[in-house]
Amino acid sequence: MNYSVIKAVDIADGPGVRVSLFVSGCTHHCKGCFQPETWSFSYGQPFTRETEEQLLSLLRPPHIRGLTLLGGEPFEPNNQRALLPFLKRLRAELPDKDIWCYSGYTLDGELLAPSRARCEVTDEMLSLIDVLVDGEFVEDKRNISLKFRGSENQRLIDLRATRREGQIVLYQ
Amino acid sequence: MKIIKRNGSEAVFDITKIIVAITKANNSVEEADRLTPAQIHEAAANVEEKCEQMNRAMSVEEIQDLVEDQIMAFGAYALARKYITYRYIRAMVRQSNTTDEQILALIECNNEEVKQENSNKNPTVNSVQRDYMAGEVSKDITKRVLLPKEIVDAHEAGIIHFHDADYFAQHMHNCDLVNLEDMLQNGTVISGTMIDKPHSFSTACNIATQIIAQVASSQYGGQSISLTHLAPFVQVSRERIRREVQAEAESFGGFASPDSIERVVEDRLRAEIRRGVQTIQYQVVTLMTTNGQAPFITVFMYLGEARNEQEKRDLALIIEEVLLQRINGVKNEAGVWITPAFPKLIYVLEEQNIHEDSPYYYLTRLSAKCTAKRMVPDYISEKKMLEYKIDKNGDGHCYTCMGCRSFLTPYVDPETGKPKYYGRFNQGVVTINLPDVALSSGGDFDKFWKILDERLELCYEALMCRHNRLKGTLSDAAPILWQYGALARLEKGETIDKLLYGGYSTISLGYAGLYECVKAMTGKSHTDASATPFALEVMQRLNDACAKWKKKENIDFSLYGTPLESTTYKFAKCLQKRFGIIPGITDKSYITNSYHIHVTEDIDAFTKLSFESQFQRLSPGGAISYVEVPDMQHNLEAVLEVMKFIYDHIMYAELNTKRDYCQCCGYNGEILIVTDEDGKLVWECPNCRNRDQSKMNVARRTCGYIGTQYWNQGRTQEIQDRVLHL
Repeated sequence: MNYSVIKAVDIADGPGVRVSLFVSGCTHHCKGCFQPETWSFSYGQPFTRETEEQLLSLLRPPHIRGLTLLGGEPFEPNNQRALLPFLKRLRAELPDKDIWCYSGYTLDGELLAPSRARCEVTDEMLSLIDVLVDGEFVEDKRNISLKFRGSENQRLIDLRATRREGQIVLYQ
Repeated sequence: MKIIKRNGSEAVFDITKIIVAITKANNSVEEADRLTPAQIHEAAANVEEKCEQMNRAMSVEEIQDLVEDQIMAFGAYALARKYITYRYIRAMVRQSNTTDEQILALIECNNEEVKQENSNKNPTVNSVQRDYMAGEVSKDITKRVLLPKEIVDAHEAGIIHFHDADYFAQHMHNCDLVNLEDMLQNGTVISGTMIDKPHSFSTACNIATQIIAQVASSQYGGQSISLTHLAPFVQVSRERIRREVQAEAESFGGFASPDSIERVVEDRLRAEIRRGVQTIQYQVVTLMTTNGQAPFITVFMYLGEARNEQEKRDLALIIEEVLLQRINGVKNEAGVWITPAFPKLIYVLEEQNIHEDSPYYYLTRLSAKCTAKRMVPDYISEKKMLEYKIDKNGDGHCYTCMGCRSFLTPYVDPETGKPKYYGRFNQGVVTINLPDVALSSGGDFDKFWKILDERLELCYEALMCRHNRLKGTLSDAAPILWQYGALARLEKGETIDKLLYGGYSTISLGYAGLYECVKAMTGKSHTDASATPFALEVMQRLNDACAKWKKKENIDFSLYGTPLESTTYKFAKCLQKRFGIIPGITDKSYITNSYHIHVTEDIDAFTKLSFESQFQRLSPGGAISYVEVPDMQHNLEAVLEVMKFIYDHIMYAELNTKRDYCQCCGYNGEILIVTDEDGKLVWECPNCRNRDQSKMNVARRTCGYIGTQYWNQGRTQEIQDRVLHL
């Protein structure tokens, strides 16, 4: 997997102050995408062991609330396979940090149902994420005053509560 | 060939002007003593030739010297005498009328300098113009009569800045902490009228506002009050309301449970607190002091100051109401809620409010919301302050700054043996231009320290002028301050001299442009690990100078990170004039404030605050760090994270958010700075392109206070250059 950029302090993509990782490769090609250069799977630089170390050290300070995954599309199967070991490591080494993930795939429509996104590691990857922002960016539904999302169709899903209650619970 | 006119502008050399001047003088002497027209032309031609040889633009005064030489070379001594006398008389006329042009220009609103001088004054209204006229007279007297020539020269060359010359003619001090407690508890006198201890919270707020207005008109700097001093009146009101409610209940004849009575009492009390707080907010922003502006007032919110649990709970009620009302804002002339500039609010972060399980964490959350929307409160870390402000008994203290950033020194009252902060004040400021020291040394470190010492000596002399101007001041000059408790309770006719010594008041050595200074000497930003030690060494040297003067004079000299609001432009222009354009050092129309990291440097909020903290410690007379942030109303958790970081890492800091309002289209967000056709920086609404400043509300923090009346070109460029730290 490649990634395009790491933001060391990000306050726009989830609550508190976060570290964000923009992975490369996306097959949605939404109209009005704010960074179409990240559609290519070979854009940016390879995600390596050193990248993991860098992320962990950026995440360590107490004022950093957690990690946000963006893209590109973190839920493209190849990206899931590359991210899963890192997320496990993050959970083990820094259990207090939360994990947010943005995906153009919807939870119930695509990630939990047969689709081009769903693969052998999808369930485990979802089990490591606290909040999923799901749905494609739809230009007609763009609204810049929304909290942590770009268009009205996108949802902030509290995955922990969703797992607990067996139905989709939105993040408050 | 060009010459330089007296007002500094260039003009083309015109030989006929010299011929006319000599001819005029020539016609007024006896015929026998006159030169012939041919001789006059020859003299003028000689002057022209000499000017050309200089290879630079000569000033009018220099040219007149050459004319005198020429007349004397022809042996026409009577004519020379006439010419010299005429020149002298003209110079006298100019001297005695030095302020005319400035005053007329400001009344006709053409004085660009005055127009952009103070971002809290509107120079088009009559009352402000009166203040500015007084200011021009004061500056003129200061320059010609009150200050030694070397200090005036250094001030005009931008080597130092002698602040507030527009008030120096009078015996006025800078800023202070108002002893509201003494005035409210023991009564005061305002404009000859006795004011007793108030019998309710709302009356206490009303009196506090009157005091604020009077104090502001008696000094030129800012003042601070503490809400703690109003807190006892909540209980006074509660007891009064309880008596009333009980009487009402009895008059209805029915049974009222103590619980239900208490509920009614607390409801009515809340309403009274709301009214009181509203009085302060609205009176302060609508008041116009004799200085032509709203009072520069800071309201301090510190739970740790309360003397018992009841008072603390009541103080929390007041703080909550202040925050709620500030979140609302005040209405602009179009009736839209906007960010007011005053009062500035300071909220103290402490153990009882900083952790999520702290009892007063709800106030800290509310404060974060208020900061995200209205830029204030600013934050003081009790933890860091107790580490830094240690008195001679070894005790740490937490207290507010005076106005925007000036901090008093720790002090123990020799009479009571107790710490004392309220009632103390600052005598004034003189600022050293650090980049000028660096550039004057040509990068040679030995020379740098030598020049720095010389310039500091100059600052010392200038500061002593300030001090001596206050010495001998009678308490009658400002009864509210010196006789009726705001600062002291001196006798009528007594001088304030005893308050100037022994640390009761402070006097500030300001500094500006540490970044440019370090860059000029080392080629690097002071954030570069190899340059940081030099930056700290400069700060230490400034502190050492203050310590030396303090010992010598028994006055608390203290090092101060000057706000430099409009002076940044003056310093930048002077540096360009003296050293030309040097990339990265003199190529902007501003220089960096105090120890701050350059506004264009890419650094995150947390790294910035912890880096600057080490310099704040070395700036005991005052300084404030800021982080520039986008709209954070959607992410209060992040605001709280920055506040927690401040609590652990830095004594005094603030967050700069941006919420402006365009009255043309209703846009609510950041209004941008753009360059117009003439290369001037102007404000423009990104939505409707409106550029009429009178039809928009822009609030930016430029000096520790919020300014809402726009800024000079240098400061505007600095605002435009700011990068975000989050």
